[in-house]
Amino acid sequence: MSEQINSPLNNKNEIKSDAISLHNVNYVGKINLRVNEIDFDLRKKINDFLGYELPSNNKVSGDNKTRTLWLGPNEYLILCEDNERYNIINDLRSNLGSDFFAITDVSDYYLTIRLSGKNAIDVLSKSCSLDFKLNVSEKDTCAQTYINKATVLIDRLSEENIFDISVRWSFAEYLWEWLSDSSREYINEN
Amino acid sequence: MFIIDCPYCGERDQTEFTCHGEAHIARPSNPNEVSDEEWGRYLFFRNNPKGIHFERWTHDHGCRRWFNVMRDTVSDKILKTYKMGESRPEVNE
Repeated sequence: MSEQINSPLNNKNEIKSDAISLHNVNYVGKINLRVNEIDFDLRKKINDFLGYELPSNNKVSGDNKTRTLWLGPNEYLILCEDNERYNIINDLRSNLGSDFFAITDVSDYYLTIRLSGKNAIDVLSKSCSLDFKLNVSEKDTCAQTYINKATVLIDRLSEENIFDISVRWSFAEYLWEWLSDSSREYINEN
Repeated sequence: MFIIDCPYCGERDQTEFTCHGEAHIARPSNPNEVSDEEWGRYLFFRNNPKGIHFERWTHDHGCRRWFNVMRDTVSDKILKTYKMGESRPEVNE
């Protein structure tokens, strides 16, 4: 449980207001899954294991145990409780046997920042080229893009503006400072 | 700034992408038998047309997949994007 104890976000001041909130989401298990786009038998095994279908382009699916994000036509990111991740990796491996796939534990590779509030999209739009009317415009959608100079994965958790932004560990402090600076004008209004 | 339609992610900003040169260049299937000149042509010689050009692009900051683009080098207009492995689209003059 102590893997992220030295996270660069641990001592940051979180923001909490009606307009904008910025939180550090610790201890999320993140499993990268690569599986051939046209290997339908293997995909069925994965669907059976997860209990739901792998998401289609730019979508997210999940249940109360795992949440699976589409990263590419043959690539997915499975989110879970941190202490569940070894169980899931081992179970998935033994279920899929010797088929052609790859599972990589990337829990410590990404850190997750949760940005929410009514001005969340205004903050993101300052430095992100996505059109938020077309991309991540509804619940359970995701997009990989970049915010200013940092490559990120944006996951929309609800119709309300709640975004989980996963970023590489080494870019996390930079992104946090960027988002926190971008948020300031909306907080001063209150 | 212009928009590129990634075959997987949909319309995204150009800055998320990188161009990797001409598409549909097949490696000779018999590399031991081709002459140095033919091999040199395969390795180094590229079309530089004024008009329709076929290119390979990657969506680096998105799905990280490769795909092909049909672009007009005069107007810079992207006429079509299509997945790797799909055949070269017809050009209507």
